[in-house]
Amino acid sequence: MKTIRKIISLLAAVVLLILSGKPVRAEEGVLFQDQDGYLTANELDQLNREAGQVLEDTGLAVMAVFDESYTSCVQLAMDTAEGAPSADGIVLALTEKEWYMYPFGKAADVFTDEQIDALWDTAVAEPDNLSAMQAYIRAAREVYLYGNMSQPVITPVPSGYRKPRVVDDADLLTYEEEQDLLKKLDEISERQNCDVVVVTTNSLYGQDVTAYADDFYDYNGYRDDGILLLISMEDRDWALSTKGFGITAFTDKGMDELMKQVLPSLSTGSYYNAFDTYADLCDQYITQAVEGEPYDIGNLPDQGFQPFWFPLAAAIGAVFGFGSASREKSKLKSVRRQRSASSYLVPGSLDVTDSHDHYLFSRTTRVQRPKSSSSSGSHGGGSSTHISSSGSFHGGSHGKF
Amino acid sequence: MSNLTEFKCPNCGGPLEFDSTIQKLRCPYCRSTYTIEELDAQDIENNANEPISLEWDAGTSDWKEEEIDAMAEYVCRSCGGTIVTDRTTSATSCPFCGNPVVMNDQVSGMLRPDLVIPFKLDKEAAKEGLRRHLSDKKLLPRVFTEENHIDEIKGVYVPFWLFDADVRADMRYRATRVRSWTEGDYNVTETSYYSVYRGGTLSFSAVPVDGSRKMDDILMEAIEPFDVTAAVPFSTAYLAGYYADKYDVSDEETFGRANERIKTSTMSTFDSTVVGYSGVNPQGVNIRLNRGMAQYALYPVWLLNTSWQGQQYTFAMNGQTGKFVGDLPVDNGRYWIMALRNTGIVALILLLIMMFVLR
Repeated sequence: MKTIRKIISLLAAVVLLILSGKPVRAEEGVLFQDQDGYLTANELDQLNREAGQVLEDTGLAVMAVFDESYTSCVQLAMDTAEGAPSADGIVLALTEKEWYMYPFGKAADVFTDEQIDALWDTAVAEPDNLSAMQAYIRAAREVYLYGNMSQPVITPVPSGYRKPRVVDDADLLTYEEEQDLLKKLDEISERQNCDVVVVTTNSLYGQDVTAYADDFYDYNGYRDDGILLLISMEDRDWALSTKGFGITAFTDKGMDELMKQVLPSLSTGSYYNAFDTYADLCDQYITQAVEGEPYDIGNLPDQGFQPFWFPLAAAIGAVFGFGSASREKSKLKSVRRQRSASSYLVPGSLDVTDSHDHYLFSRTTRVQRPKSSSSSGSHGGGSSTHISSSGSFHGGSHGKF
Repeated sequence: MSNLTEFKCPNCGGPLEFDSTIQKLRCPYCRSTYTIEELDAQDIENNANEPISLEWDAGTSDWKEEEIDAMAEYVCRSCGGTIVTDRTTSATSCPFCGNPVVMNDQVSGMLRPDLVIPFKLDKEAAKEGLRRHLSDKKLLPRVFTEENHIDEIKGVYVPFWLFDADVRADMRYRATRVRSWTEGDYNVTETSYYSVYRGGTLSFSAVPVDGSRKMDDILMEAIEPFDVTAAVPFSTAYLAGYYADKYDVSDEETFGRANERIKTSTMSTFDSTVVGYSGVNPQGVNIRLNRGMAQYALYPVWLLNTSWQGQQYTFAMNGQTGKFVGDLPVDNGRYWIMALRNTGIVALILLLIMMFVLR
C-alpha cells in the first residue's frame, strides 16, 4: 500500500514539477502539514491550533511538514518556510530518511545546533506522534522565548518500565559497589513500598538541580511514593526529591538531619559510604513515619554517640567534682578573722542625715539585632512542597558538597 | 598587795568552783551552792583575816631580770604548795592539790576587769563540741578521730578590750542605672550616671579585741560574736575553777583592729542604703570615729589542745554561744579520690543524659 502510494505521489510530484516548473509548494499559511499520514486529521487540527496559539502569542511560526516525495529534506524545509505566516519561525521537515530543522528570521539567531538537537530528542522521546509534535511546539516556544528549554532533558522511559534504583551516570561507584547498593535499595524499596533512589550525573544540562531531581523521579517509572538523592558532579550539587509518602516521611528538618550525616562522606569523596548511610537512614526514616510520627523538629533521630561528648562531660564533671571536694576541704578550715563588726552595730543607730542622688548624664548605645538565620519553613516543622514540571507535588532540599 | 584567793566552802571548808550550769559556786564535797553575792561578802572577810604575801626572793636566784619580771610565785592556801605562774595569769589551779585559786593582785586595782561574761557551757559541752566539730568532715583523715586524744581542756577567761564608737560617715558613690529596649532592628541600651551622696551617723558598742598576747588573735576572732548584754560586773568568784589571763596588750594598741572592723561595717552599711541602681562604685569615703572609753572584760573560752602525728591542733569554743572553731588536717589522698569520683559520677550522668534525652 505504502509503496504504491509513494510511487503515485512521486509520479504526481514529477508531473507537477514538469507542469509548473517548480516543486509543489506546501499549502500557504498552514503550520502542520502531513502528506504521509503520520497524523490523523483531528490530530493535525489540534496541532495547528496549538501552533497557531504560539504564533499569536510570540510571533514564532512553529511548523512541521512530512513529505516523503521530497528527496532533499533541506529543500522541503526551505520551501515550507517560504509559505510561513510569519517572518520568524522554525520548520521541522521530515522525509523518508532524514529530518531537518530550519529556523528562519529572528529564530535563526536564537536556535543553536545543540538546541535543535535537544528539540529533536525531546520530540522523539514522546511515546506517540501527537505528543512528540506537542512537545516540539512547547520546546520550540520556550527556546525562542527564554533561550533554553525547561523541559526535561531526561528521557522518560516507556510506561510499565522502571529505571534501576541506582543510576550512576557520573561513574562514582565501582561495579561491585553499584551492585551492592542496588541490592540494598531494591530490598528497602520493596519492603517499605517506597522507592529509595540514588542518581549521579556529570551535568544538569543547564537545569535547576531540584527540577532535575524531580523530573528524574517523575519520568523514570518510579512509584508514586519515594525519595531520590541526586548528585551532580558539574558544580558538586546535591538534591533530594521526595514524592507521595516520601514527602510525609522526610520533613524539611528530617532532610536537614539526614544530609548532615551523609554530607561528610560526600565531601571527602567516599561516595559508597555516603549512599550506604543514605540508604540506612531512609529505611529508618520511613519506618519511623510508618510506625509513628515522622522525624521532625522536636522528634529527631538518635544521632548515636558523638565523640566530643566525652571531653565535654569530663570537663563539666571536673568542675562539679573538684568543686565539691574543695568545698569539703574548706570545711576543715574554720579559724578565720572577722571582716566586719556588724554584730556589734547598735540596732537602729543608723541615721542617714544627708542623702542626695544627682543625675549626671546618660549614654545610649544601639546595637543591631542579629537576624534570625533560620528560614521560616523550619519553625513549624513539616514538609514544604513544590510542583514539578510534570505537575506533580514534590518535597525536597538541595545544596553543595 | 599580792595574794591568792581560794573560795572555801563556808559549810565544810572544801574549795568552791563556779558551776556554769547553775551560774553559782558549788562545793564538790558537800554540794552546797552559793551565789556570787554571798561569796563576795565572805571574800572581803577572808582577805582581812588571812593576808597572804608574795614570797619572792630575787637575790638568791640565777634568774635573769626579764624572767623574774615575767614570773610570779604564790603559796597555795589549801596545801601550802608553791605555785609559779607567769604574771599575766590571774586564775589557775594548784599543781599539788588541784584546788582552783585566783591571784588577787592580777585582778585587783587598775587591772581589775569591768565586766565578765560567765561561762554558760561546761567541759562536757566542750567535749561534745569537739565531737560535732569532727563529725561530717569527709576529708578529715580517718585515723585523726581515732588516734588523736585531747591533751588538755581548759576553760579560760580571755581578756578583751571592748570599744564603743560613734561613727560619722560621708560617702560618695558613682552609680549607674541601665535600661534596655528594642527599637526596630536595634537593641538600645541607655546607661544613666548618678552622683550619690550619703552622710550620717552610726553607733557600735563593745567591739571586742583580744588583749592577750598568749591567745591567737585570729582564733579569738573566729569564735565571735559574744553577746555583751549577758555580761555582769566583775567578781573574782566567777574565776573559781577556771583559768584567767590579764591583758598584756594595751587598749591603745588594740584599737587599730577594732577601727578596721568598724570601718568595714560602716562602709557596707552605707553601701546598702544606695538602692535602685544596677551598679554602685564608691568614689570617696570619709569615716570619723568618736570613741568612748575602752572597757576591760573577761570572756569565756574553752580551749582544747590535741596532738596528732607530732603536730599540735588547738580548738576554741565560745563559752557563751558554743561556737566551735579549729583547723583540721586534710587527707590529700581522700581529696583526690573524692574529686575524681565525683567528676566520674557527674560525667557519667551527663553522658547518659546526652545519650538518652538529648537526641
